[in-house]
Amino acid sequence: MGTYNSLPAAGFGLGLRRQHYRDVVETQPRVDWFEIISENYMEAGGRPRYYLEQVRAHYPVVMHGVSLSIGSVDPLNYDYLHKLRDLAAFVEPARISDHLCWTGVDHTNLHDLLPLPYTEEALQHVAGRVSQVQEFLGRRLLLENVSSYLSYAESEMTEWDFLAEVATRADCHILLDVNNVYVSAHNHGFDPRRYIKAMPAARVQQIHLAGHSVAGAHLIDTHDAAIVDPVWDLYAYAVGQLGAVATMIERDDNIPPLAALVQELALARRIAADASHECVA
Amino acid sequence: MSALAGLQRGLSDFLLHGGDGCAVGVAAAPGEAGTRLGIYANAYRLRLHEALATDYTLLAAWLGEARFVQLLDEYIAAHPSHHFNIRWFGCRMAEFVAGSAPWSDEPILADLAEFEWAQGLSFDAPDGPLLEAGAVAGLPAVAWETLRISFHPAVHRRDFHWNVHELWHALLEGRPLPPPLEYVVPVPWLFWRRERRSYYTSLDRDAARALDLALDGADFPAVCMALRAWWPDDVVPERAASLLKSWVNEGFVSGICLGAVPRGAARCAAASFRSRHSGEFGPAR
Repeated sequence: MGTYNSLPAAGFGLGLRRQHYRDVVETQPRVDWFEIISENYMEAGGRPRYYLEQVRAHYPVVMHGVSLSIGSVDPLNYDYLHKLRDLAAFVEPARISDHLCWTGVDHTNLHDLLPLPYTEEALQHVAGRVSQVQEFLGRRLLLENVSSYLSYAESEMTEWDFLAEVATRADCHILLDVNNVYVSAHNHGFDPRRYIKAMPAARVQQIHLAGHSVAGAHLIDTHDAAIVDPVWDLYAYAVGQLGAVATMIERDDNIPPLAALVQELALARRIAADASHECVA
Repeated sequence: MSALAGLQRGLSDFLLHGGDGCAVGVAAAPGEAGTRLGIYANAYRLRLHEALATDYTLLAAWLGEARFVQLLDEYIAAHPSHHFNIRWFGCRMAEFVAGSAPWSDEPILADLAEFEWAQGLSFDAPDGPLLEAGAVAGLPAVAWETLRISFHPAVHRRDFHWNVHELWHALLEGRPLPPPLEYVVPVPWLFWRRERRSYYTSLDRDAARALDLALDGADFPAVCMALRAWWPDDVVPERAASLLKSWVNEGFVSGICLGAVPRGAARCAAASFRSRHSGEFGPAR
C-alpha cells in the first residue's frame, strides 16, 4: 500500500497508540518505524484503520499480536489467523510478532500472556504450531519472551534454552524484550545477562524496551513508566552481544506526550551507538 | 490428557474459579506459590474490569464505584471471555443486567448499557461505501418496485425505554446525572458513523419502522406499505422517497439493489447486502 514496502524497519521505533495518532501524522517525529498491536486494526474501518493508513504512508509499520496463543493446547484459531493475514496484506509489515505463551484453553480466553512449562512436550507442541502459522502466513514469525511471575515444578530446562530451541526447531525469529528479561530475572532469581548471552544472535530481529512497576517482592511488566537504568544497562549489554537490532519502546498505560517518548527513544539511540562502538573497539 | 493440557486447565480453572491452585504445580518456596498465582489472578480481574469500565462509563456513573465493581465481578463470573479480542468481552452486559437479579430490578440499567455499546459498535464498525446524494433521483419508475437498500455497517437501530441520552449528555458535560424518566412508549434511536465520528439521533416512529424493514431486507414497496399506517395512500410515496433521500444524505446507505432476491440476479449499485446485525463483532478500539 504505502511507499515503504521495501524498507526493513531497522533503527528505532515506537508503539503506535491512539493517543498519538494526530501528533504522529501532523508532526512526523523522528521515529524510524512504528509497531501496531495487530488486534486493534483487524477490522477494515473506522478511526484506527484511517490513522494506520496515514501513518503507513510516512513510516514502515511492523505488526505485534497478543492473541496467537501459540502455546495453548486448543487448536490454532484460524479465524484469528485469517484476520492476521488480511491485515498483513494491508500493512505489508517488515515483521510480524507475537508471544511465547498461551492465553487460554478450552476456548476460554484469559487475556493474559501466560508462561509455559519449559518441557520437551511443550517444546514440540510450540515448535509444531509455529511452523503451521509460518506456513499459513507465508513468512517467518518473531516470538517474544514474556515477563513471568511463576514457574512450574515440571519445567525441565531454562526459559532461554527453551526459547532458543523453539526458534531453532521452528526456524522462526526472536523478539527479545529486554525489560521482560529483567523483570523475570528479578522474579525468579536468575542472571539476566546469562539469558541474553544464550540468545542466537542471528535470530533476534527486534528488541522491546519498556518500563515496569514494583509490587512487593516482585516486578510487574506494566508498560506504564519510563525505562529504568538497570534495563538501559541490560539493553547496552544486549546490543554488545547481539549487534544493532531494531529496537522499540512500548508504552501502554500512563501514556506521556509523544515528544517524551521520542526523547526516550533518542536515549536508546545513544546507548545503542555507545554499546556498538565499545563492541567494535 | 497431556501434562501440558493438565497444567493449562489447572491454571485456567484457578483464574476463573479461584481455589488453592495446587493443580498448577508452581515451583516456589513454601507459602510463596499463592502470592505468585495471586499476581495472575489480580491481573485477570483488573484487565477485564478495565475493559468493561472503558465500555460502560455511563453505567459506572449511574451505579457508583462499589456497585459497579460488584456488577463487573458478577458479569466476569457469569460470562468468561470466548473471543480473542478483549474489546468484545462486554458484549452481553445489557442482556446480563436485564436478566440477573438484583440488576434486573432496575430496568434502566439495560438501556444505559445498550446506549453506550451501540455507540461503540458504530465507532469501530468496518468501513463501507457511501451512496452519493442524488444516486436514486434518476431511477426509472419500474426500478422502485424491486429496490432494496444496503446500509453502512456502522448503522445500528435501538429502542430505549428511558431518557438515557440525557444522562449521557450530562456525563459528557460533567453535570450531575438528571433524574431517570421512563417513556410511555419506547423511543427509537439510530447510531451511525460518518468520517470517523459517531452520531446518534432519535427517529420518528414511521421513520423507525421504515428503517427497520429496510435494514431487514424489505423492498421499497414493502416499506411503503408499512408507512400506510401513518400516512394517507397518496402521501406515502412522497414520504418514503423523502426518507430514502435523508438516509442517503446522512450517510446511512452503502448501496441499492435492483431485482428480486434471492435469485442472485439483483443488480447492486454499491456494496453487497448486509443484515442489521452485521458488524457486531470486529476490532478493538
